[in-house]
Amino acid sequence: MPSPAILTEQLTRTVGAKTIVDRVNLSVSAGVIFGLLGPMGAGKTTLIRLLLGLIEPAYGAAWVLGYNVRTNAHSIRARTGVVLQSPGLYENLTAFENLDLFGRIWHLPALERNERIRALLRHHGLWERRNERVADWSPGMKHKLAILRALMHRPKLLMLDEPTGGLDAVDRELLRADLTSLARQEGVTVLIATHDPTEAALCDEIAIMHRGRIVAAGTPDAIARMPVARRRVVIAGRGFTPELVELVQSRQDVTHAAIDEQNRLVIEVSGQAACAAVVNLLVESGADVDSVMRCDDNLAAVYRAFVEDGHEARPVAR
Amino acid sequence: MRPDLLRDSWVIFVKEWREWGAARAVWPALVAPILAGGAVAPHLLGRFERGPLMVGVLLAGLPLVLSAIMIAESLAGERERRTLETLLASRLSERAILLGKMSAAVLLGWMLLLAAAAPVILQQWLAPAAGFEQLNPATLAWGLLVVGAPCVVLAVTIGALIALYTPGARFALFLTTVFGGVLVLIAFAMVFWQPDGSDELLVNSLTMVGLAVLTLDVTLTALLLIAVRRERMIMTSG
Repeated sequence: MPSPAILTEQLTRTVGAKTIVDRVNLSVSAGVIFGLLGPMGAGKTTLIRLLLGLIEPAYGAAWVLGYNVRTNAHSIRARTGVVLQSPGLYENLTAFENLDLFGRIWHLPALERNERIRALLRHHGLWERRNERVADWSPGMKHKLAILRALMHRPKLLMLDEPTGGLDAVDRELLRADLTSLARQEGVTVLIATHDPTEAALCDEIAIMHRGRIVAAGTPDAIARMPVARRRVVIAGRGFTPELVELVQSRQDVTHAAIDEQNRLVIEVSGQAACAAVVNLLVESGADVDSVMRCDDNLAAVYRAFVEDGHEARPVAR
Repeated sequence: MRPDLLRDSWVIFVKEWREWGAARAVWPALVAPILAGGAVAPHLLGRFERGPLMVGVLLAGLPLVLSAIMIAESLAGERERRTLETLLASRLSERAILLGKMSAAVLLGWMLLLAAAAPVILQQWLAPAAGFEQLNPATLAWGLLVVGAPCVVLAVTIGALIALYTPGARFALFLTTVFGGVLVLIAFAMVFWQPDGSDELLVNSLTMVGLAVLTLDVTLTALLLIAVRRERMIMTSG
């Protein structure tokens, strides 16, 4: 069995009395796109910094591409491409100069460097603008250039912190296709930190991070099927009086109930049996039920449940 | 010193100069006061006690302060713009980054020092100020080389130290400017401390001061390069 690209054991980072990354156990297989999903302040960026050896863990251990982050961080950084939250570009330099700088940093020979820059910029439609100062570019274009910079040296591992922020829909699709191609064809492991469940849903595996801890991990499908989530259920029919809505709302397993613009009853339930119980209650109270649609049987709902309801961590079978 | 360290430092050195070259406001801000000072300085010769030396220090002070400010801005400014973290997340060592930035600032300081002091030396060579006919312009040039040049290194090293240990770029620039001012005041004091007498005595005295500053340079730079840590350079808690 191949060794994981990233492995952490009880990895912890504290600052004073505050624990920013809390006993994180993570295993990321080589050649997969791994999503680290969590709200702002969950500790995702700190975890990336720990994995790169930019900051020291207070406790625990981590290995990236087989190298220990405490003792061999240089070897990790030498094989990793990184885009942190900010693009980190030199705004007074042109796009070409920015990429050229990093080509030199990675010791690419001049010919290879120029060809790589040309290939990357052409593929992403930026070649014509290579001699423009980056300061004059839009945030989306800067972000795109930062990602190209991370790809300059053909890394074994790519770490992207909020990679699609500022990108338009077309560029997002292009980036996703590129990342998939990198992972499938070149065996590059991609770690994406994001707060967007839609983006995480496209990853091969994900971990939900909240308040410094990994609260769930597995494939997006496995996590989306977790029973911890609140489910949003839309019930179409007639006879949903305000009193009946109030009655539904009063149930312990119903967190929210309201009538939408199409006179449908929209409820949020916790627990798997709640939906059937509510439908029974409606019918017994004299309402007509035409259809019941569970529309939140997805990752976003589970994510919300973890982040908003503060569910505790549960192991998920891979 | 590992070959990679020198090669990587060179990459950062070139990057710094490219950035300064591309920044439209940098050169007028640097060169204008130097040129203005150079134009005025020859007319000030002889008006102060110890005229040429005093004016020399006055002019050398500006390059010292400017080079300290440039390294502080380079480190603290890049940290605020998040470009430093991108460099630190690459294969570059923290020493290579620091050495590259410091050497770029030192070269800039030396060039500014030369531009500032040249008119004074020229004036002393072509038409010495009254009462200072005995002062050899070569002595001034020697002072520039053995005292001015190491002082630029000292200013850059201390500017780097301030930037590494100060959270905000603005505060780092403020502290660096204050430090530069103090350094110039010390230099003024040393002009008065210079012994009266022969040119040879003055040369020996300048050489001693220069050696002392050079020793301080080597010690501080070595300590800085040994002690520097990635976490300190990023200065983040998370």
